[in-house]
Amino acid sequence: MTTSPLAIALFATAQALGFLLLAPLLRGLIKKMKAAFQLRQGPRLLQPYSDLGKLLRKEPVRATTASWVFVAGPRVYFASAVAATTLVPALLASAPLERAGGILLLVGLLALGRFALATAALDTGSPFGGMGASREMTVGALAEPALMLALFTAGLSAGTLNLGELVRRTAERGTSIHPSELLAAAALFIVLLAEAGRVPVDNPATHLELTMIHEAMVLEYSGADLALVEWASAVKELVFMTLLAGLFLPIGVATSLAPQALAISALALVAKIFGLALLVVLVESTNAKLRFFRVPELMAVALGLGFLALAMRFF
Amino acid sequence: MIHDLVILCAAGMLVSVYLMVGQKALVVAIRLYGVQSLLLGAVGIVLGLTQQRPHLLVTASLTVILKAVVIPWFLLRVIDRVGIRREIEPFVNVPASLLLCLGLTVVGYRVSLGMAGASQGVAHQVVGVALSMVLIGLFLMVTRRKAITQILALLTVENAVFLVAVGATSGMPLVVELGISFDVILAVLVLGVLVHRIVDRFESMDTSRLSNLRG
Amino acid sequence: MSESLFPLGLALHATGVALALVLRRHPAACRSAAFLASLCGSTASFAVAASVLASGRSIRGVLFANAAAGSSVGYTVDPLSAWFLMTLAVLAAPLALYSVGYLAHAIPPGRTAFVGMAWNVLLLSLETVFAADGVLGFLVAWELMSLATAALVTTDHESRPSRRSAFLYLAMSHLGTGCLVAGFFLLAKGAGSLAFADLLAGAAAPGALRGLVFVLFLVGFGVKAGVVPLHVWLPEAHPAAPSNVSALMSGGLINAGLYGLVRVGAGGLGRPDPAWGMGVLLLGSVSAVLGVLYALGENDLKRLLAFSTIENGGIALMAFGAGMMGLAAGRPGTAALGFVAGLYHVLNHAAFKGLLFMGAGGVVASTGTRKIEQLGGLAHRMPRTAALFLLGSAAIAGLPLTNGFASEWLVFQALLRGFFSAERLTRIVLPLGGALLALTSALAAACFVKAFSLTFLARPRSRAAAEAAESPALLLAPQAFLAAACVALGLVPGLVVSVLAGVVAALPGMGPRADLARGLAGVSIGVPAFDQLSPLLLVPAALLALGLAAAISLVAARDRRLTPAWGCGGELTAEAEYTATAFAKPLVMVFRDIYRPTREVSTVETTPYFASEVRYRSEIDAPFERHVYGPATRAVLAAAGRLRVIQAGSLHAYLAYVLVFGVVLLWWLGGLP
Repeated sequence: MTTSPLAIALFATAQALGFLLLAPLLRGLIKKMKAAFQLRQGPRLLQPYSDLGKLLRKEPVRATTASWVFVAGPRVYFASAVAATTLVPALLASAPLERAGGILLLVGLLALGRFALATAALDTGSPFGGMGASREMTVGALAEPALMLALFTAGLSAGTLNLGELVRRTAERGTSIHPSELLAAAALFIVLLAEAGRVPVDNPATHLELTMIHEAMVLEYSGADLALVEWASAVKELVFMTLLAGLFLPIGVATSLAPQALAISALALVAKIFGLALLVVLVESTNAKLRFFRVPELMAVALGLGFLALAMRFF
Repeated sequence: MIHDLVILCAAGMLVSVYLMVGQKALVVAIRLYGVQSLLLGAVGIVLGLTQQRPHLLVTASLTVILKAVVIPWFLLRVIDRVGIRREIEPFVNVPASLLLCLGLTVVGYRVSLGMAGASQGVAHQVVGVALSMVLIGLFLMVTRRKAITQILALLTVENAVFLVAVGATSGMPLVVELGISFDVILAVLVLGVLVHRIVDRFESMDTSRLSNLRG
Repeated sequence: MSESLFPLGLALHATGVALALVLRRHPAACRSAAFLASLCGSTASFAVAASVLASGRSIRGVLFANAAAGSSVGYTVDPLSAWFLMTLAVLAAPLALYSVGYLAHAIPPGRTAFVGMAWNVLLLSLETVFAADGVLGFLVAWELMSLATAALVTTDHESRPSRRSAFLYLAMSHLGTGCLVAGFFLLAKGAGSLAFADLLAGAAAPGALRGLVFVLFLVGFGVKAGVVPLHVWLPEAHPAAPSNVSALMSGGLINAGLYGLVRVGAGGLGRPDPAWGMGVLLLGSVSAVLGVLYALGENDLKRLLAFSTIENGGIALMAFGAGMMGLAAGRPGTAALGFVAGLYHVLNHAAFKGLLFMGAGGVVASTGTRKIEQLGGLAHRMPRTAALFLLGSAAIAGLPLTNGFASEWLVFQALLRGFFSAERLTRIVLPLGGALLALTSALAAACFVKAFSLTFLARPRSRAAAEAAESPALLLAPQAFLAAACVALGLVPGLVVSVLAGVVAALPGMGPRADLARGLAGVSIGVPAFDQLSPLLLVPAALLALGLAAAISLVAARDRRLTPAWGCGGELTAEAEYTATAFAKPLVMVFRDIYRPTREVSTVETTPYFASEVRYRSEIDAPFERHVYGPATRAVLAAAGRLRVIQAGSLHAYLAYVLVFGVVLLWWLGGLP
């Protein structure tokens, strides 16, 4: 749609900033809903912003054994998450940098973030960092085939792996939902739980180090370093949800820059994200965290779902 | 007439081989070899004169000198030095050996019978004799224990090949024949040295003792 | 002018051999001379390759001609050969420079001449293998290559494992060469000529034998390329050699096998059967997954890299398999994509594997050990090596903006493209391949997080690691060059693909395809676009995002506090660090059906209440050695033992054999008319 470099740059910046600003809100929303489930009041909706601000005001403490890798880790993680935001279609039926790459590039960027963080986690010499990195890479390795298959199903049925184009074609096709898409969406949802570190894969609120996966990796970070990590994690979660929404529920996506279309699209997106967040909360509240060596079984389920989706669609 | 002379000489060579099989005294065996080479030279000279092949004369004379005179003298000297004059009991005893040699002669002649017509001349007779000599020579090498006898057997085989070259073909290029002759000399010299070494090591010329060298 | 460049390159390598021999008593001069000659030879070879790739026209010539025998050994540098020559040169040139510095301390000075000579012979023969245009020249060069490699592997011949690995390498190599000879023989019989132009132009093999010939070539070239199950020599031989040789072996020798497979598979034997392509794809997938799994389980840095080579060879094979399936189905667009992807990966692998082995060599030279469990903390002592190794790790893990990502992206495209074929089996196999590739890629990332972090980060686990010194600039500059190459090749995939499109178009059975549109920087697959990749577009976004992160942390609190890492109240020592075994443990547990780990725990107690010492031993099964090669070797040895009876050691017995043979022969001859 928009082809001048300046327009693309503006679009990308706007989208990235939008994701950055709204991601903590998603976190707050999920926490609030979880609390409601537990008949509690829970923290304020805007608490994550306050938390980020607090972290930014504190001085970062770094281990003497750590090298520049420890400092670089959160920054690369943050950069990869922000770069990923420019690849997903959010409000419009196109992504700002969709010509840079599609599904594969997106998955690659997420892998880059994980690599950076895991590497940095081993830098302090603390065994928890090593444990977290080891577990995170394991879960990531097992989630990746499932992720790929689910995304391939969506891509191949639309005939393109380019995310913007995918959304456009799915939107044009209308609202008929093929059962394979449900399966693929289910697989992708499980992967979302894994990537975002949610129950049943990982408990984001645990204090017990031996039960942590993601949190153990970032145990040693504080101050601005931790703020960057937390923020990037929230952005990643929002990116995943937007991806899910765009791939499987492209209703109401704006195909032009007309203000009403954008408004409808924004409302639709909020509704979809809200729905997904509710689903996440439901799953978190009704399941216990799995023992670590049961997580591969869950990933196997996701892989099976992904493969079934592909098989159903094409055979 | 020439024809018959050649065949007579060839037959004589075969007889000498048979006699070698039956011999136990090493000196006699060496002398038999000398006679055999002489007969070979005779064949060569006769054919060279009648078929106008001058270089055959050269090689035949060379054969007479080297193989009928020099080599037997050398081998006799080796025996003298080493002091062993008799062959000990071979793996296959003499009567049986002779019978087997008859069989090998049959095999050798079988090939020659397949060759084109007797009108050709001496060719198929010569081939028959030569092949029999080869097989009997090999047989001697297999069944005799003393190194000298084995050397003689090798030289017999070489004579047989030479016989075929002279009698059944139009001869080899002079260079080749000279080369072969000198190779034979050298081989005998080397083998002579080896005999000394074997005797030094084992105090006997019995080559079956060589298997002691195996690791 | 460029006509004579190729023989010039060979001559330069030969000069290197001669110089090494002449200067053998002066190690320093010998080293410099031999490797300088090697560098010049590689440069000449690169120039030849570049000119062929740029112009698209092949260069031909003759190396030896013997009019009396009527035979000649010639060379033809066509675009495919040029690509492989270029890959070799890109790897060998920095390695030559690296070797000058590395060999100063890594081997005894007396052996410098030997290594210098063998190195040049290896490069000479590799270049000839890529450019040979007749069976004779090819096979002689192939054998020379194997022998030179074996010689280099035994550089450290005092160590028994070294000798054993060279022996294993030679045995497997000859198995492969035997198959190659058989394959060439069958082809030559049909075509009546020994020139590649006749044999591998697509029409030589008669119908029934085609499958057999292909299998023979697959085995023959597969041994060299490290395809599972013919890979058992690789993890032994690559680490045993000095690191510069390991780098050349992993990045260059493997390519010889892959080159042969492309020559044969991409229309060399005519249109491939669908089964061939699927077989290659299957073998590639298995190699990739098993390679990376075993790499994960390794605690020896160089063995880890060797298994990773098997993995990357597998990925290239997957791409070639997809290409062959495309050819078989009559879809030249898919076929071209497959071969382009595979060839791109070959170049990339040379670049990052060379970099990684050079880094590992530097580490081994500084610390004296290859075991990851004894390293650590090297990022402080060897910062530049660490940074370069990190870049290499990122490249091999296939992270975006590196060359590893670009070629893996292309391989995915090749696999997914074939999905649009009509055949059912193809439609199942290809996405499955894609899933396996995704798994491989993620496992490779895990593997290299382990390799990098546990070697370079946190605290040193041994005294040697604590006292390591940074490598000299002579060792670092080549690594920096390859690191830059990794980044460059990742940022302009369009350029590389343009060159490769020309290469692939020259293969028999293909023509120029419009399916692969490419600008200078970006690649676009399919018309209308199925997918696109333009890393350069992402770079500004990534840089801005990094800038944002930096800005945020600058705006935030400025002071940083450095304290020892929290150790739950006690002091953290190197023993508390996560170990390499521990890092890989969850994955070993998940994949235990493949690894079949054994585990032994014994406690040594002094009192009934406290165990003073616990011994833990864990081992990963080596299934191929145990179930395939072990029994095969035993069977062969048993048969040989029984046949040994013939070798009585008795002169008479041997003569008797001759006699019997003579009698039988003569009898048979006599019976003939």
